[in-house]
Amino acid sequence: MSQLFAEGEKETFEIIDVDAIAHDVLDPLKMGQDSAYKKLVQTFGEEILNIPKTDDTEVNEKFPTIDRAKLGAIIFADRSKRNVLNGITHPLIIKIMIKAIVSQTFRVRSWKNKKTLVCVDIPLLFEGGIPMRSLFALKITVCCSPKLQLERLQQRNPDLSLKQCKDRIASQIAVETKMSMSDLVIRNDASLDDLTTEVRSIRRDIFMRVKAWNVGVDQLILCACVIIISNVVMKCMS
Amino acid sequence: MAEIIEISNLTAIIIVAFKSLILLISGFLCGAISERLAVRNSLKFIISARNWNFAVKLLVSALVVAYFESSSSRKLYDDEFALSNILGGGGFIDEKSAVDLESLSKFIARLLIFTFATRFGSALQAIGLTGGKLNNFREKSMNSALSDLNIQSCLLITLLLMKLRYCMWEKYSVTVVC
Repeated sequence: MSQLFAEGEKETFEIIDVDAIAHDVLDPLKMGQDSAYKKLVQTFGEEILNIPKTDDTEVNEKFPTIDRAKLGAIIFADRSKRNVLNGITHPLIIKIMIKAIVSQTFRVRSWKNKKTLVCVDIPLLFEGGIPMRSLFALKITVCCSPKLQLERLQQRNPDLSLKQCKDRIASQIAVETKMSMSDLVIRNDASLDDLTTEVRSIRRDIFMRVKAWNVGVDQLILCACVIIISNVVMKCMS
Repeated sequence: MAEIIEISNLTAIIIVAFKSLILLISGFLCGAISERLAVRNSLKFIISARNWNFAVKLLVSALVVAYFESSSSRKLYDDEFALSNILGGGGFIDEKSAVDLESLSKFIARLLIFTFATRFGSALQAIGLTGGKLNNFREKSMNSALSDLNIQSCLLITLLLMKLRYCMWEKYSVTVVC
């Protein structure tokens, strides 16, 4: 879906993938101080770690990676443990995401590419509450039938059991609630061609709403200020 | 009429810094809120999305400039409130038909600080994309998002900040002489 949004000739979206950030946050080599590695190992024990298969890698000896499947099995079976994990990882993910939004926004603006918007692909947009929602100008929900969602989750994560997949889906807010809180809804249970057409139309709609005539409030305020000053000068001269 | 109180230079600097901070925060919020209002067309059957966006921004900028003009101009502030003078620059011309430079420079400085923050607020317009399963699909009206509590609460905070700044102006009219 985010790929479809990123594609475009005139108008493009800079995509920030929060799922990728959530993966990276578990890796101390990628995120350094922003990594949740130490806290997670302290909280959930060394049983969540991957035992290195080879002895020759120095990195694996220093930092055996976190096994996401093992961690997933623990947290999706116990709600309190899931909350503990969220308490550790969410502040870090949000911090990195906000940094990425700010840097992408001003990078986009500095290149004077006015036809670009920053789009954040975030699985738990509504689960983050009001502070998370208020970060975004427009909220889009992509939805499909429960059966299709289960199929897609299993395809994406073949190592997960059916029960684990169902637990993961059940841990999210109901889509009806998400839809009532979002500005745009995209149906993703038809063919890829239909989805592409729908995404294109939504992209146009978003650019029409957000960019409009490419005039900002700041520019209009400055214009009004110039008009007032010129009025003062004119009145004094007359 | 504001009561004139003698204060030290340090206090004056602290007050000016505090006022500037409030200006920056309210400018940022004003930029962010106005952009969020501008993307949600409440009158989509009457006006196109583009024109709605422009109309909202035009209205917000007119209100902001009018507010700063009336609060910066000594004439408009002290005497009767002359609506015709607002946005016409009349408030910056005194009885002798000379430019009230102090009021005008105050107006420009405030507006520049505010606009700087507004630019940051209006630039941060990320789009959030999320997924979910569908049980009973129903069309979502774009306008119902306008009732989102976020916008109202942010607007309220901005108005309170602007009111606070206005009250401070009334109580401590500070002129820093370098």
